Parts: sequence; structure tokens; C-alpha cells
Amino acid sequence: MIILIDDNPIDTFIQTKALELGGYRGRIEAFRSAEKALDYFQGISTSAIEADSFILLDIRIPSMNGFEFLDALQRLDKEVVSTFPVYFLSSSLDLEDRQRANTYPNVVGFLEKPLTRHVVAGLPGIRKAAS
Amino acid sequence: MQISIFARKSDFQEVTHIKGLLKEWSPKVFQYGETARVGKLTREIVILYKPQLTEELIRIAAEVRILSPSCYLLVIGEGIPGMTLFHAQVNCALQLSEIGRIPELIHELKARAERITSDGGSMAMQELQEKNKELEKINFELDRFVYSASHDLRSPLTSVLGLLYLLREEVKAEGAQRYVSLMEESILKLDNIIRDIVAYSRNNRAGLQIEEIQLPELISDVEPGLRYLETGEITVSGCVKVKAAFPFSSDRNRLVTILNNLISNSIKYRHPARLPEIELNLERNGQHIVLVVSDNGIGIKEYHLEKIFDMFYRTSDHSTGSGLGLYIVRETIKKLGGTVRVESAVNQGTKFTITLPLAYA
Repeated sequence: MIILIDDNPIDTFIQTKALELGGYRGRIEAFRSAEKALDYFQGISTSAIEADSFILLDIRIPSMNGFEFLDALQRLDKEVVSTFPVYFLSSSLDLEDRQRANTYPNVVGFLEKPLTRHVVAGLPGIRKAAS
Repeated sequence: MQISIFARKSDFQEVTHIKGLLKEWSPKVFQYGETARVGKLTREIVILYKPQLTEELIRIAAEVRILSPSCYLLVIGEGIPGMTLFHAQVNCALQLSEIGRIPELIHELKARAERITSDGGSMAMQELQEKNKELEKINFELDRFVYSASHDLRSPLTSVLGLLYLLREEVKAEGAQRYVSLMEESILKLDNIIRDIVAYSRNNRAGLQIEEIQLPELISDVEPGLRYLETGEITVSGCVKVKAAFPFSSDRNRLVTILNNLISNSIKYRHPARLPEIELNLERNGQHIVLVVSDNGIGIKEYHLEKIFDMFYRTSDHSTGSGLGLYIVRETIKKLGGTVRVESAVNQGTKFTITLPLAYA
């Protein structure tokens, strides 16, 4: 399962299409705010989380931003959730954002928008699912 | 307190007159033109008679006041507590005929300075610290502004770009494919201008952050920013070969900016008949490190070579950029205390040799 967190529906549309074109056939859940995504994680049971799941997370989202979301995720105190792999996906050029992203143990990458099928095809989770 | 008077030889008589008036302050008289000695002055007040203010004088002076058309008073406040308030009081303009009042004026200033120093040199210090804090805040806000504005400008661009990639997959008609390519090209051009402006501002404003650097790691830091240049057969990791490397100390973000520009140029201006190959080589040379970035691209004609580092310079035949890239490269290397030189052969390739300090104080 791939979870998209981005306030711009055009971008989640692009991400969904790019994932499909890149060979991903699994479930995609899109959330337009970090709070809604957090509610989802709060309610989810550990057994419901599929292997090779990950989050594509925008940084500059209104209200709760990407970093605040990760902090809140850690506080949920569910091991599966707090170790959920996260890719940041942003159009930010702020190098501090990148450095800050590296401080979270579950952040596995920093991707630049727009997501393309070439990038998707290179993500480890996708490669496994496609083969 | 000591007072120095700078004057031309021809004005010596009048200077002697002033000197007489200033006797109790043990003045020293320099002839005008001996500005080389000014750099060593630590005195509190300098009177310039018929001055030509040189850049150096203005630089070292905390305050310059015109006493009369022929007489300037400079306050040199380096390291003297209470000086900021002290020179703030020097705001009266004297007529030449009033030159005799200078000792009186200085006496008054000195008294004020002493008063300030005794009851609150800290007040001036506090004022300075507050100013400093304010400036830091403005600097921080400006930084945030650059990143926020650039992000907000880029967001719709990246959305359009993403949609164009999708369009390219779905609409296969030849005309449509060509239009999509041209649109992509235009958007990437605009996006690169925004990236360049951010890189320029970042280099100008951020202080040096020296840390240990591994060249291969640096390449992986550069990669995401160059993803847009990658095609099926061209990838950054595939093109870039690190020939020799060792850990060294430098500013990571600035090196990313430099390599980002050089590698993207090598890919953009690749030779049509071959895949781009970019070689990075690191060497130690005495107190310097030498980083050579060479490619097998189309090369740069000799008459462009000396201008490619100029702001907004673009070679008319192939250039697609903003004309800022190599300017930023040179400015960034300058900030690192290094130098850059370029050699190129048309149809064979280009080689940038970057010399950087081995260590930073």
C-alpha cells in the first residue's frame, strides 16, 4: 500500500498515474491533509499493513506540515507505524529541509516533484512488487 | 585621547594653527597622502583637513562628520566602549571660522564618552546587540522568503511538468509529442532560472559550514536535483565516475551547488554522437585540494572561454539556460576561498579545475 499525503489534488493525481505507469499495481490511499492521514494511522491495525508499504509525503502542507506529521507519527507509539518508510516528495529547494529529513530514521529518500514513472520504477518497494 | 590631523603640505600653516589649538590633546600631524598609516590608527578622533576621503578611511571610520567644507572629523571607534553613543553626539557642523571651537567640542565629547563609559558602556553594547539581533532576524526572514517564494513559484510548474509527462504517455501523435517536448523545455527553463536565483541567494547569504566530505556521497546529494535531465539511457549515477577521492573538509551545500551546475552542463551540452561521461578527480597539492571535473561533451569555443563565468553570459549557439550557472559556480568557489579555471576543446570536451583550501580556520 502506498499512502500519498499532499494538499494539491493535481499532484496526487500525477503521483497516482506515475505509480501506475511505473508498474505499481497495489493499493493507493491519498490524503489531502496530514491530520487526515494521522487519523487513518491511528485507527489502523498492525495486521492490516501490507509489506512494502510506504508514504509519499509533501513537506509544505497547510496546517500540519510534513515534519510535524512525522513527529506526530512517532508519538502514536505503534512500532509498525513509526517505522513506516517515508519518501519526502517536494518542490522545495531549501537544503535545510533535506538535512532535517535525514534526521528521521524512517525517511528513506527525498524525491523532487514531479514524480515520474522513471523515478517510480527505481523505488525498491515497486521493483519487488513488479517482479 | 589623541588626535591626528591629515593635511596637504601647502596647508601646513593652518594645520599648525589647529595643532596649537589642540595642544593639550597631544596631536600628531601627518602629511596628507600618508594614508597607509591610517590602517594602524587606533585613536578615537581624526581630523581631516581639506580631505580627500579615501575608501580605506571611510572603511575604518565609525562615523564621518563634515565640520566645514575643508575639515572633516572622523571618529574611529574600534574597540572603545561607549563609542557608538559617543560618535552619535558628533553632529554639529562647524564653520571654518569656528575651527577654534574644536578643542572645546572634543572636550565635551570626551566628557560625554567618559560619562557613558562609567555608567553604561553596556548601554552601547546592548544597543549593538539589539541591532545585531534585529539584523539576524531580517536575514532569517529574507531566507525564509526566498525559499517560500521559490517553492510557491515552483509548485505549479512541477504540476504542469508532471501533467506533461503523463500527456506524453497517452497522446502519441507526432505533432502533440513535439508540442509537449517544447512545453517541457520552456517550463524547465523557467524552473532553472528559479533554481539559479535560489542558489545565488544561498551562496551570498549563508555562512560557511565546514564538515568532512566524501566525494561519492556528494554525488548522491546532487542526483535528485538533476533527475529532470535523466532519460532512459542517461542517468547521473551512470555518467559520473569518481576517479580518485579522499575525505576532505569543505561546505557541503556549496559543493553541491558547484557540482550540480557543472554536471548538468555536461549532460545538457553532451556530444550528440556519444553518451555523456563525467570524470571527477581529487588531488592534494600542498595546502590545497584540486578537484577536476572533465567531460566528453561538445566543448566550448575558445573565444567564449574567458567570458563563460560572467553574469548572464550565454554562448549564442547552444545555450538554453539563464546565463547564471557558471557565474554562480565561480562566486561559490570564491566564497570557499578557491579558484576555478577552464580548458576546452570543441567536439572533445571541457575540463574545470577547481582549487580549494585544504583547511578552513
